[in-house]
Amino acid sequence: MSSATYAVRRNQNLYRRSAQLELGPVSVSFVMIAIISVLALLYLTQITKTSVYGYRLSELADKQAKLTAANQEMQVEAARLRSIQQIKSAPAVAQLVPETQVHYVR
Amino acid sequence: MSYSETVSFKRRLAWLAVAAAALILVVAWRLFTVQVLSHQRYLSQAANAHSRKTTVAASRGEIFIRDGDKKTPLALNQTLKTLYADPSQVKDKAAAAKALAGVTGQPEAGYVKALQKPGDYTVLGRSLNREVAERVMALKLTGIGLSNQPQRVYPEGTLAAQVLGFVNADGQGQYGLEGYLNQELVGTPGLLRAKTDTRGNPIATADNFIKPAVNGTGYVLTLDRNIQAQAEKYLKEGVERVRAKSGSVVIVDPSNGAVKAMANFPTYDPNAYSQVRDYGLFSNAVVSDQFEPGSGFKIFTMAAGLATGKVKPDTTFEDTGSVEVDGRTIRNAANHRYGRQNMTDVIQKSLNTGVVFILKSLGGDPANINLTGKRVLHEYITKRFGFGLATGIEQAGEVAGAVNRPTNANGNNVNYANITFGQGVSVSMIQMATATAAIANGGKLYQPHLIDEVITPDGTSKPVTPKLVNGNVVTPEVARQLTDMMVQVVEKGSGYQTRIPGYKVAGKTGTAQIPRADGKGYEDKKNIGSFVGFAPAENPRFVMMVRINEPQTSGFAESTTVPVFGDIARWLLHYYKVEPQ
Amino acid sequence: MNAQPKPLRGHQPDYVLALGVFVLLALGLVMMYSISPVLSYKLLGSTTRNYYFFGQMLNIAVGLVGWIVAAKIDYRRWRKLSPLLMLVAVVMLLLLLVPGLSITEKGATRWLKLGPASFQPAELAKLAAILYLAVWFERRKEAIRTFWDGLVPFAVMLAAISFVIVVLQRDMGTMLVLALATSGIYFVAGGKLSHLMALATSALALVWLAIISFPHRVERLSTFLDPSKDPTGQGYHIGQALIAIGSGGIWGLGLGKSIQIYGYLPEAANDSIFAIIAEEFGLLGALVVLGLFGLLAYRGFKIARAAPDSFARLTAVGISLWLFFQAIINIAAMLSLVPLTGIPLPFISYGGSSMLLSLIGTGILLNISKYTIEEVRHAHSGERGRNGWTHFAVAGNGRRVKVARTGS
Repeated sequence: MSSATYAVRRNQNLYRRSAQLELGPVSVSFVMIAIISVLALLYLTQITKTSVYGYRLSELADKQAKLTAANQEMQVEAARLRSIQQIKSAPAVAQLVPETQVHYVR
Repeated sequence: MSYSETVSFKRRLAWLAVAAAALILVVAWRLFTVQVLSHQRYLSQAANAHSRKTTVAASRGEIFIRDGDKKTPLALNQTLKTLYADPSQVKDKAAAAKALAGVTGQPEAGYVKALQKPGDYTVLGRSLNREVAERVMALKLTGIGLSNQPQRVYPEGTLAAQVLGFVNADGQGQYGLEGYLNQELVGTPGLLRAKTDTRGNPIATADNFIKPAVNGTGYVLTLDRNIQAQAEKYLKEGVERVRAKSGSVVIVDPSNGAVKAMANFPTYDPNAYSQVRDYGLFSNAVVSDQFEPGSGFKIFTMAAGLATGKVKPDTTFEDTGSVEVDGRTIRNAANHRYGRQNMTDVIQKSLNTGVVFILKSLGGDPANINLTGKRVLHEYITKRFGFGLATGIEQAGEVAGAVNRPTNANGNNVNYANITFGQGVSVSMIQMATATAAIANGGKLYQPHLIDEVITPDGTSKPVTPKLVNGNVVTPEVARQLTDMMVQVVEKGSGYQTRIPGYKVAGKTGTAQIPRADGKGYEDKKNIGSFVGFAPAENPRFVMMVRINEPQTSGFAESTTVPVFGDIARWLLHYYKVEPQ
Repeated sequence: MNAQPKPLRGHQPDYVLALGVFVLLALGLVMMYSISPVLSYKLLGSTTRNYYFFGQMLNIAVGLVGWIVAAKIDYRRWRKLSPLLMLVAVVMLLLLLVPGLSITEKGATRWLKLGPASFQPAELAKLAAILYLAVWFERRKEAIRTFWDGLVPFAVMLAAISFVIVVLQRDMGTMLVLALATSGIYFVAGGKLSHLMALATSALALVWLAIISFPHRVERLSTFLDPSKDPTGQGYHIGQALIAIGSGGIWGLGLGKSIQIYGYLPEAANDSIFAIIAEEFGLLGALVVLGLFGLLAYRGFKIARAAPDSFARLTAVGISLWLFFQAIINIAAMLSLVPLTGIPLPFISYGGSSMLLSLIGTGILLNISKYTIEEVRHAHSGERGRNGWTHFAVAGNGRRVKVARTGS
């Protein structure tokens, strides 16, 4: 074990800390990285908006397709219920009497 | 730490550093090859994997039918779901089958069987509605999927089935309107070219290309739902009453050529077209069936005679019961001989000898048929009344009929003598109705049409203007004379069963023989009964033709078609609220 | 070996190392933010939450606490703690075999349930093994060169922990990193080259023997060892990674412009994050990341070189190699240079356990860096230097540094 003897006292005076706050290269680097990261995040906020919109768009398209399908289904059902065949078999219609004599009032 | 130990450590550490640097260099070189040297290859691989071209289905145009003043849907679309499975992906088949059965209500055993099939695609069910489909989706079963199945739906069932046609599994219209207007109805599918995620959802990027789908054109028909339904009802009764093979009815508005009803019996349900075994049911006999019209055709021979002035209603001739043409004897039906008869009698009593007399008169030689006469008759039948030419009605498979040219070898004197009373000529019902409408309305030939309004893809509807083909087929005077003769048919002749108290009905019966398949003469027992007519005679609201094929009961058109015409006409006059005279 | 280490006065830690890690963390966080909407949508079906971004923020926050604590703790205390740490790691690994306590994902049981959180014991095992072996080798300075007292115990230890990780956990990647890092320690600690060769040869021979003896079982073996990746799935994964990297080109598609993230590239937030970085930032970005990991190894080796005692040296080498090999294996797998083994990219991949342990490792490294002693080579040219930045600066700020006497 000899490495402990390498303790050195040279240049002590050169490295006295000054009282005022000083931004060394290390701090500057950390701050730069932080700023770049924040800027990147801000940029991404804009970029990813479109991808979010893309998904919302397809979500809405899905919804629209579903509603269209539901609408179609109801239209078809309504048309079926109003169809001649349906009307003919309706109980109320079965009780109607066919017209035999028509009088036109002049 | 000893000095030598430290030296050894540092040397070995240096070696490790060299090894690490070597590894970094290897990875960096590999990065260079992948990202720079092979960049284009991966770029195209990426483009292939990401870019998808999808067609956006256009929805098929809808078809509506008139319902009095309103309209009501006749053909709609519905998106149903096909339930399919990739059996290799379904792990617990029994559980999946049970879950599916619980949702769809179908037997579990069927699903188990289908899921045990080899392969990666099997259909478990078709035409699932939205509600069931959503419940299947909620099960979130691996290897089970739903695909869209666009379905054409005909809410009125069999109503106007042959007029409509149907849409086959490939989305192509077949027969009728669906077939004729398929191009317009299908619309133009849209195109989406975009980078997508793995599920095919487009990613919003600047270079996406979207061409929206243009939906198909919709149509409102001239057909009236009530008239169509009544026509079908009375036709069915009429066909069943005489145990005929089939029958058809067409009703046309003579003021514009609009078809108000077009019915065939037997019929089918286009919703279940795939279950039909007799494909003959699909075709609309009114437009696609050509037949020898028989005596009904005599009115057009008479029209030619009256229009050319060669005969007048009171022109007389001597009926001997038969007439010789080039060695062939042409007789009246039932071999009657009436003696001296005028032209009204010819129509009223349906004298074959009388119309042959007109043909001779057309040539200016009362004793013989000549080319001039044949040419005049041919011109009237084809150029003026439109026989031998397709009418252009919006129906798939319309036939043109056939009228031999007088210069043609087949258009010999015997043939032309036969044509005068509706044999040796083939026509369609729509041609007969159209030509009759030109008499009913005073001489104007309108193109028969089924479409009243066109609904463009953006939802606006444009009315269709009726097309006047020939504004002066015959003069109004001649038309009136012909009408009077046809009224006599109903009042005194074969059409007596259509007499309606308070109304004047004009009409003409026809009973045609059916040519034998081997071309030698005619079938013995089979015939085609027809009745063409209109009412009220003085201001016609409708022209109707009824045709009954091969009735099992003996008898002429009088007993087969005329009652059907009468039933419908009586109902129609009430429906139209035509006041009796 | 002192039972109670005397308190040391250190100098400033290696800020370049800290800066390098900080850059990687920032890059990882930006990447998480860029892929978060797409992946969160896929995971949760909603785009409203930045699931991965906030998750990674939390991971980093927890990791930074670990970093600071580890940087504060005198590294010599790990001498005493390492057996306990090793015991904890092994117990946790064995606890994975208890069904109720573990989480199984994609067929592999690698996570231990800890209340609402989960933890990957294999990550701890790596650090524990490094610290434990550093102590162990320090004590056997001379014996390490012998066969029976050096190679055999090391080989047995390595085999035992590999058995636990590979056979019980089916985690080939972690085992590989561990084996490489500990072999590196063995190497620099003075292990005989011939012994190391023998170790490597026998390991390869074992694999080779397995392949030729049971050729038909190899396929099954590979799926057994890593069930999450069937042969076709693995091929797909690598293919997609190469498409991502290759389509990036020199300059990349741009931040947030990745297409492969849309469901194409599996494990995009975890094991495959490098491919997304290469796709968005191109060759330049990829080289920067590669360079940063190289820088970390370089600084780690530098710390080891100047470390005050054997334990510190070996620990520094072990941690440096661990982070370096983990990064290089992850990247090489993405480039189809080595088989896909499923290990995260340190500091960047999404994941709490890996993040925490990597940052604790960095903390230990930084703590050691406070006590480095450098030979003065340029006695009169050190005016501009600050400790941690220069080759030769010694006890920082001119403070007197006492270095404990250690070793035999």
